[in-house]
Amino acid sequence: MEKMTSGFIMILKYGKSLLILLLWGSLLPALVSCKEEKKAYTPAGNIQLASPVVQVDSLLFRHKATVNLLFQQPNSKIYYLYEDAYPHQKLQFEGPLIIDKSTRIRYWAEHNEYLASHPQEIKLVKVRTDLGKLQLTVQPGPHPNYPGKGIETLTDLAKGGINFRKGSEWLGFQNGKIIITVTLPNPTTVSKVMLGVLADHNSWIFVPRSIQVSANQRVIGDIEMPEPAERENPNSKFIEVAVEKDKYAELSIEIMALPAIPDWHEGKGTTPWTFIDEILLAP
Amino acid sequence: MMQRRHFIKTSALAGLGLASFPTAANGLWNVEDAIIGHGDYRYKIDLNWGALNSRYYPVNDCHEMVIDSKGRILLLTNHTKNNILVYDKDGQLLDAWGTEYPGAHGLTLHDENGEEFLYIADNARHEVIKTSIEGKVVQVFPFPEESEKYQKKEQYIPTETAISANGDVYIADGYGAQYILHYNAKGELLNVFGGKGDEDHLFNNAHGICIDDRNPNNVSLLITARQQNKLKRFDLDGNHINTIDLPGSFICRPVVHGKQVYLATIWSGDGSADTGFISILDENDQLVSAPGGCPPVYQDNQLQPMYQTLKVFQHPHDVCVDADENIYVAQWNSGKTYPIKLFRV
Repeated sequence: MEKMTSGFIMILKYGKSLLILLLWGSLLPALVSCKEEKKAYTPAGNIQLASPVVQVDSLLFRHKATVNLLFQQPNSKIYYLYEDAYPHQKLQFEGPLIIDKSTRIRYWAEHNEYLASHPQEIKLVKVRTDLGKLQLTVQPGPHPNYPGKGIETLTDLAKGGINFRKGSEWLGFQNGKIIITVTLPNPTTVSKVMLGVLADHNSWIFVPRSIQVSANQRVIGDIEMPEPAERENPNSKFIEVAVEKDKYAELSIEIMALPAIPDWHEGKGTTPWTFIDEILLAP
Repeated sequence: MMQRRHFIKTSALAGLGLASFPTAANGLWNVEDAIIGHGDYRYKIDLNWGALNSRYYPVNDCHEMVIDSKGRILLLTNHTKNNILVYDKDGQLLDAWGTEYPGAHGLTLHDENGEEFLYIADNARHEVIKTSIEGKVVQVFPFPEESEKYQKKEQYIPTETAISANGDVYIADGYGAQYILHYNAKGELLNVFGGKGDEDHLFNNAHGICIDDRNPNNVSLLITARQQNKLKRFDLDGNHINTIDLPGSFICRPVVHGKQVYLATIWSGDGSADTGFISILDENDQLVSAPGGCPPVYQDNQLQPMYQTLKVFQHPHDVCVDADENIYVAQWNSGKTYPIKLFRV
């Protein structure tokens, strides 16, 4: 009761001031809106930085590769870490990185006003098996619009980037199943098959649903990829299929596309594109 | 134009008491408006400028925009519920029309003796339609069979038009065989030039075209070769004059305003999705600002490759510029979003 009484007295005592404050609070936005042609400009904190530009002399290399990161947004900084180093150590990028073993690098940009960029990742692969002399067949052949530079696109040690429109880096398919037959000049030890694939959902390109590797009419390894639940950033990556380690003279790689574009996509229900660019065999 | 901008700046400073409120408010709430662009061409952003209730006024791709003599801003979308949406400069909807343009892609406005007309390049109908400013069809430029460049109508996929002072019409077949078709005002085909290829006089994606009349004694055509990251200049008879290299910039259509050329840049860098920005060239064909992109840098007179630095835009497809030099940006394949306005600061 005492508290209620003192509260009532407070309102009487300071009521006039409160009223002025309330009026001022409601007048302020009105005055601002009269002056400003448009008051709802987008704040910097609502805008995200784009990703740094990565320059790599070759994602596939025999001895060493050089990685450079560019990002000329004033007051921003580039960071990176090696995914396969534990614990992960966030490093500020200050100059080109020299890479001499297979690794994955995650990189992004930060700024004190804008939102940090989405981290991107590149995978660099040190090549130990020379596939230059092997024979390949691909059934069916690529779509006429995306023939790459022919079948050698798969063994040229040039990893395709996310700009598939360049035309020479990727074989594009719009089939449910693609079978690649690899004939090695001599029986060769293989423990892992790696296939370069592209995902660009805005362009209706999805990674395959599964990859199965067979030899001597027997499945020696397979992998299944989950259907993406949402739109992902375009990315060019390798899918690795561990196989029974042995010497093989011929391998059959069966690539099953996603059966249909997922429901969340504007192309739902239709056959997606599958883009492949490079086959690597690890001993 | 600059005098008007100077007047606005001076007026704002004169009203210092009022002008200080938003600054104080920003300080209080620690909110800084984003400012994009470079040099003298910097902008604040209103991402919601053109937002409408999509249930009543839906858009698919927002392809192009023009501004008429009354300052009304016309947006062309390929949604056939309302192919044209008419805004005032504050983003208020004034009118909506058009249901017969499923491939509405290019929109050009031309003043003919005080009456304004629109030219709609429809890449699904494979023709260009001329309408009154209210949407009444007055002329159709059909598939140019007489050119003998095409075996069938579907090979002709026009993306843009440019209209010269004498009424001649230039149509860019940007998604088709890459020819530029030159008609007189009656619709009679006068000339065909360009075509697909890498040489200076050829194109890979002749997406946009405009009349460059900044020098009235030497009027020319500016035509984008989008996949080549080049802007090519031709005389009105179709002879190549020069090429402006804009590496990393997938430019859609040139828009001449004042002494500048503005270009929506749909992709950048290596051409991956969601990497667009705006390009602004000065009277010397130098890139002077790239709102949403990295600062333009020239080394040995060569522009260094451009790329996006701020994710303001996904796929800018066209710009129009108002009397205060604010920019309106229409976007392709960007989640059916409405145009964005950039306020010059």
